[in-house]
Amino acid sequence: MFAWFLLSAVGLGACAGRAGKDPTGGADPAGAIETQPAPFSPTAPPPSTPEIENRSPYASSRGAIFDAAWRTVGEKHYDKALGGVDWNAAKEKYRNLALGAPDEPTFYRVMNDLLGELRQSHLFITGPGDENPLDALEKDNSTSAGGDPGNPGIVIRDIEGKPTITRVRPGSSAARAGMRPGFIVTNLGGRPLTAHHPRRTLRPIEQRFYLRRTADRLLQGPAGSRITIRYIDNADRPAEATLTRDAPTGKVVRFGNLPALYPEFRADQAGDIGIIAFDFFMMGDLLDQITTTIDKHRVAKTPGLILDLRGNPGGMAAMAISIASRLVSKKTSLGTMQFRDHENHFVATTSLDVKPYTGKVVILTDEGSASTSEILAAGLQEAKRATVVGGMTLGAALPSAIEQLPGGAILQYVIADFRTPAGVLLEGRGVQPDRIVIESRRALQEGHDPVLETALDLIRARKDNVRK
Amino acid sequence: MNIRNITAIAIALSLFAPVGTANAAERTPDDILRDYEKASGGTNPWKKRKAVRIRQVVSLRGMNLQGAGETIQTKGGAFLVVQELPVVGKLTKASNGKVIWSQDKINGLRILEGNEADQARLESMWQADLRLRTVYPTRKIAPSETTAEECVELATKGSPPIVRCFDKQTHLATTMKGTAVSPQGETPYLVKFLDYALQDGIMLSRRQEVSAGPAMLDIRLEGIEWDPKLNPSIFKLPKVK
Repeated sequence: MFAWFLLSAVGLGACAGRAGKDPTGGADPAGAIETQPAPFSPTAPPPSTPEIENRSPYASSRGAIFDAAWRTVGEKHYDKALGGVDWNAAKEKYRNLALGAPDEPTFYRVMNDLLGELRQSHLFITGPGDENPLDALEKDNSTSAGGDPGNPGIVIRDIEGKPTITRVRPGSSAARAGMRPGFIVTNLGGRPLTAHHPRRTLRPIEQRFYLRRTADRLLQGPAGSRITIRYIDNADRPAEATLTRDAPTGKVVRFGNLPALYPEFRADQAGDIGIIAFDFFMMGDLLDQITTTIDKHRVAKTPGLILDLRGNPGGMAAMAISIASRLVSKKTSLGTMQFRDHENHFVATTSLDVKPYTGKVVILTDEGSASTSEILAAGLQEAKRATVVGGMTLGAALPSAIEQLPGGAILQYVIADFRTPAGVLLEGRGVQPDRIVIESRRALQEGHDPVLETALDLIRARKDNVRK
Repeated sequence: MNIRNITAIAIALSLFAPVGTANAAERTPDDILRDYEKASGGTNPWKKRKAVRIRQVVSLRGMNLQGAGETIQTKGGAFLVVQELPVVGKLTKASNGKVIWSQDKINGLRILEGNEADQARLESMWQADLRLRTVYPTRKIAPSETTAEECVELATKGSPPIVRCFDKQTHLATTMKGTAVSPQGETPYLVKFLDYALQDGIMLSRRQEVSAGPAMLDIRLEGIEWDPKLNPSIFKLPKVK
């Protein structure tokens, strides 16, 4: 049999927000309509094609794209009942609307509305001709075409209800332009930042994620291009700056249908406590960097290790096993993936070539921690191997696959459900930290990172107790 | 489809396969398997061989991912299976004839035991497909989905049963269905054997379509090398630092 290892690694590209432009799913799946729909029938005849004149050059592919997306979800979604959604009726409802759309952005919007009927994360479709207003803005802000994607080096998040700079990358264009944590962003790339999705009702945490993701996408663009930012500085004075998007520093990773990725890895130390941060779960060099660093701390017998998964939207789900296996001394379940016809258990286990790190482990989370981040955090938390500190995670933890459809469309669809060892469904719920830390603008202004500081205090307190 | 199974495919099917004329209802599992052995060319093409290296290209359908696989088997009972995908990395399963081991980025270096070891051994042994009647103690007729096929369920005490189906006319293998055992559980799979051709006295399926859980794979045979020069250390359990 072809190795499960390979299948799980590629088939379970669990992540929120990288494949799709609109990562925030719909409402809690628990709210799915409880009806008894007709069973999904892949051979159901399509409704008649609308007689609408369409000038889009891509319009001739729409029928094939619609049918392939509808069929793929119907045949491959882990839940054969699709959460009670009448998928045949959904086809009836959306097919003519999609095929008659005046342009491709509208076509893909209708397609995403079709997928949105399932009220889950990790369902998204895009394709040739699709372009939403954000993309248009990004292009307007670009002064050069093509090239590596870059960003000015800031993270913008919802702090106390306002878009706030929470991190400035040392040495970045933003740092040189005087950007500091605590600045409130009033306008980015010519538009205000909002936490409200134009078409969907989001959970509060999804709103925070949406704002963060929107800012992130606006900040990204071809390296060397510029973006204007208006802000209120830490003296509460309005100001404006033009930031240049820095070229990525990491090595590019190309994997299947995912866009080019530049995973960022940071290994820091606070006294004798190790800190590992990475912004995406991707095997290859990144996994090597993570495991080598963990091993270094094992050898150095550091008392504590902090995994900073804030803003990490996930990635290769199987990587959670690999990392967890370096942190446990005995077989430890991280949870179960329930596929359509079988289930896989995420079990971290010792192996001949890995000696586990045995010091204290703390995982940092926030609203940007999703998917594989949630699987790892929840599994180690339930096993009492890690303490989770920070904010609630997004609750978007459905393993998915990303597949190319006829006509060049790209579909991300859900292939499994994930439950923690205690049976908790992470989707729509997220990971509840052991220590919730409320972040404030004041703390940012004063140069504090209260989430990290809480984690350090926890580890140091334990170290002191051991000494006593 | 496992590259180990590709090896099994390589062993399948024969030039001299008689056209199936027997009444299927009267045929026993061993009748079917015996015809399969003949169809594969029997043991003759293997007699002068001591080792084989089989190379494949693996594509994940719709995912824009392509990787490589290689299987080495020896008459002495050693085997090495390596599968690799970009970024994901390398999976190795091997045995020196005594210890069966596995190494990958997810589960690390392990000595395989129980069902997993049994499955690896059955799929990767020398002339595996010519020995189905001896290595699977339980063999029974299984229902076939079409009248053109006849199927046999094969089982051992250790590993989950597999169902192998054969074309009634050519006796060539058409499908194999089972579950793959891993530390993560059992994943159902179905392999379709396609595009047969004769090579070195053996009828080979040069292409397989594999569905494994939600994934669809295409596996293409890239080449076979007989009696390659081998360093025996490649089969040994790697030393741990």
